Formats: sequence, structure tokens, C-alpha cells
Amino acid sequence: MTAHPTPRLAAAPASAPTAPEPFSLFAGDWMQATYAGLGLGSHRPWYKTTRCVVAVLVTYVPMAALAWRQGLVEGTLSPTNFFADFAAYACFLVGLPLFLIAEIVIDASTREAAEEFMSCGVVRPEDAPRVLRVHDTLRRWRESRVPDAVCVLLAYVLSLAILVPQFGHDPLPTWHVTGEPGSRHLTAAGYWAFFVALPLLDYVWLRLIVKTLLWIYYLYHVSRVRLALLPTHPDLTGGIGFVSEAQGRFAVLILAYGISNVAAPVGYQIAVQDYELTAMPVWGPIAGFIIGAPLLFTLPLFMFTKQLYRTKRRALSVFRERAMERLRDIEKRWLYTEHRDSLPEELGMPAEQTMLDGLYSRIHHMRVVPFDLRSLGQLVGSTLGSMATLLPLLHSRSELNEAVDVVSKLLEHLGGSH
Amino acid sequence: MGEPVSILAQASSRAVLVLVILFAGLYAYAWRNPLGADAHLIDPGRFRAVEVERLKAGLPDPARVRVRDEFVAGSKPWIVVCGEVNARDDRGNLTGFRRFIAGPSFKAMGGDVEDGVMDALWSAMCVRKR
Repeated sequence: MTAHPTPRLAAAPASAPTAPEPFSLFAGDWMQATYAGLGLGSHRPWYKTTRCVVAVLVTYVPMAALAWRQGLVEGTLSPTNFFADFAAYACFLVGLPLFLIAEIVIDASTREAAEEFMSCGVVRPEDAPRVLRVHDTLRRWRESRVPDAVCVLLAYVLSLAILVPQFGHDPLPTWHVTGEPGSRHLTAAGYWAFFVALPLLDYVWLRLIVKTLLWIYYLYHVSRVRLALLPTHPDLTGGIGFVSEAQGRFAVLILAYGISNVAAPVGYQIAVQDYELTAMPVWGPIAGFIIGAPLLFTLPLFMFTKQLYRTKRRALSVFRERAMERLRDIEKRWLYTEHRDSLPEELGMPAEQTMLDGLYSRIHHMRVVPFDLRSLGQLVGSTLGSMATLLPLLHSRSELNEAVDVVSKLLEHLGGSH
Repeated sequence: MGEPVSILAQASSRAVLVLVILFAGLYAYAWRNPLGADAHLIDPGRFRAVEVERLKAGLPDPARVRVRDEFVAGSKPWIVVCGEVNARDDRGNLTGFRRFIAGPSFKAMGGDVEDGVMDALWSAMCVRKR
């Protein structure tokens, strides 16, 4: 999929680059180059599916084979049973493929939104070169090896952060590490987990976080351009409602992150390590994720609030002035003059009045944040949806009632404080 | 464009080769070093189940003994299960829920030991939840 210069861009001043840089967060980056190197660079659905299969074959399947070979298989739900580790299932069989799908969804939706900014005239022709320079900056960043190198480094740091405590003086049993304190060593599956599978999983989501930051950077610069907003636009956000749709698509990323990085480890702590719901390592990540994830994708849209607010205020002011003039005229002719046959131009006045009502309604209901309930629902839904995977586990441990009690008390408290 | 793609293809092939060699090496390692149950480390879930069963077995009418809010606490060698238990006394009457501390070589229950001693034991052994 390639973005083509739009007719409005063709009308941009001579200072614009001769070959405008199309917007993309992913095209030509290290991962895309790797896909190409593996013969999986095509955008056809077959190749996208194959990427997910390859990811599972590189991560989960070798760990399972190594665990089976070394005897980390039991018939009970124990921490030394690899096949009882449903966190591994969630991370590598669900989360990792979802991250790869999220990349495809986010790539398409952000490209579309960036094209809309230019093609529908929200970015004025005279400001187009400024936005195209941002595209160029994004191209340099995505083709740079620095963010990828940092992501790989961080991925290994995160992997080691999980591994190192398992060599402490009072470790819990796991399938990653075995032996007595002081002489503990990694199992074969543990080596693969901490040096291949987990770093790969972490790299994939860290890379998507970098892409999200690049998208926020793009939105910041576009919000700094004087946009040609239409206060009477039917999307009720001045004509930039498409940004809301693009933000809503990040729900797939939230879902993948929630399942692999929050629900899976928390579920493991509850079911296998016997933690209670009230323990900080259990409820802390859940609460942080439920609050933080939707906010991360909603807050950047407030960068457009200043322009939207000003546009709305200006439009209301002008509308009131013009409407008063027209209404005075209409009232004068229809209410305060003696009955006579209407002139042809007077017959259109009620229709004009109806149109004015409609315009006023749109300006009045115009939102100053380009976000709609549907997109918010997608973000919140995927956040809570990923956490809902914990419900059967909590129910089986009779901690669901406890969780419901806590939420009920919180709501009662909030309700009582009003 | 053909040259960078072929370089990438070469690099990818090498990466795949490294992964295959790594897997083969680890597979051989796993084959030569099979593991049994990791008996030296405490699995909190299993430990709790075993100790609660042992506690019940030591009380009259074990089938009717009720245990609640139990958790594993402490660290090696003093790992215990703390919680509350409601069991029948020697006359067959329910005692009501009272605190207990149970470990492989240790057992204490409210009512059997003085309250002050039980408080001291509880604060020494049951504070550090696992």
C-alpha cells in the first residue's frame, strides 16, 4: 500500500519537495526488511498469516520441545510443569500473533488518517510542505537502526529482569531454572525462553510502542499547523473525526499487550505462584493498565483541543451575529407585516430557518476533542476484554467475589461522596 | 534494490542457521540432563494443600473441619501455612474459627496456646506472605 500525492499536494507551493514523502510508521524499517529477507515481505493475507506462524515456531514450539525433552512435564498444575504455564500460551500463542496483526492494522489506519489530513484540505496547501517535512523526519527515524537497537537492548534487559530474581536466596520453583539456591541453573527451555523467545516478544511490543510515540509526534506537529477546520462538519469534530477512528484501531495493540504483559503474568502469579488478588504485584499492574492504556491513546488528541475550541467559539459568535440578522428579517416579514401574498424569495425563508437550526445544532454539539464514543469504546473494551481473561481464574479461586466487593465498595464510596 | 534484498536474505539465512544450531545444542543438553521433580524448592500451592490436609487429619472429624483465609508465609527453613480453622473439640462441639500456624514440624492453634503467645508467633511467622 503506497500513499500517493493528492491533488491538493500538487497545488502546494514550489518550496514543497518534488517527490512528497508518503506517511508511514513502518515502511522500510528493520523488521520490514527482515520480513523481506525471509521472503515474507508481501502484504497479502497469506504472508501475514505465515509471519504469525513463524513467530510461534521460533518462540513457543522450541521451548515446548526442549521442556518435553528435559522432563518438565507433569500431570498437575505446578510451576515446574511447562505445559501448565498458561502465561506462556497467552504470551506466545495469542499475544505475539496479535502484536503482529496490530502492526498491520495500525499501519493501515495511520496511513489513511495521514492521507485524509492532506487530501480533505484540513491541512492547507501552504502548510503542506511543513507536514511533508514531518513525514521526512518520520522516514529517517523509522529507517534508523537506533530505535531498533534500543528496543533489542531493552528487550534483553526486561528478560533478564525476570530471570535474575530466580537466582535469589529463596526462589520459587519454575520450569525456567532448576537446582538448589546457590547452584541454580537454567533449563534448556529456560535458555530458549530468556535468550530468544522473551526478548523477541518484548522487542515486538517495544517496537510498537516506539511507533506509537512516532504517531504522537506526528499528531503533535499536525496540531501545531493552522488547520482548516469546519465547525459545521457532520463528524462534529471540525472534519478531523478520522483521527478518532485511527486512534480506535490501537485497540488491537492494547488487547495484545493486556493479554501478554498483564493478564498472563498476573494469572500465573495467582494460579501457580499462589498470590492473592490483594497482593500489590497482582492488582498493581491490572489497575495501572486499566487506567493507563486508554489514556495513552486518548490524551494525545487533546493536542487538537485548542484549535477545535477556538474554531467552535468563533463559529458560534459569527453564527449568532448572522442568525440574528436573518431572523430579524424573517420575523419582520412573517410576523409583523400585514398579510399579503408571499414573494417567491420569501417562500424559501422557512427552509433557511430550518437550515440555520441544523447548522447551530452542529456547531453547538461540536466536540473539542476529536474523539467519539465508538473509538473510546474500542479502547476501553479491549483493555477490559484482555483483563476478562482472568475472570475464570479468579472465579475458580473464589477471589471473584472479593474483587466484586472491592469494586462495589469503591462505587458506593464514589456515589456517596456526591 | 536487488543487492540490499540479497544482503538481507543472507543475513536472515544466517540468523535462521544460528537459531537451528542453538536449538540443536539445547536439545542435546536437555536429552543428556533430564530433570525430576524439583523437590528442594517450595511450591506454595502444593505446600499449602499438603499442610492443610495434615492439619485436618490431626483434628477430630477431619471431614467437617473448615479452614479459611489460609496462606503460605515465612521463608526457608521456617515456611508455614497460616489461617483460621473451625473444628470440633473433644466433646463434639464446634470451637468457632481460630487462628492456626502449621508447618512440616510445627503446629499451633488459638485456644491451645495462650493468646499472647499466639500473637507473638503470628507476628513472627505469618507476616511475610509468600
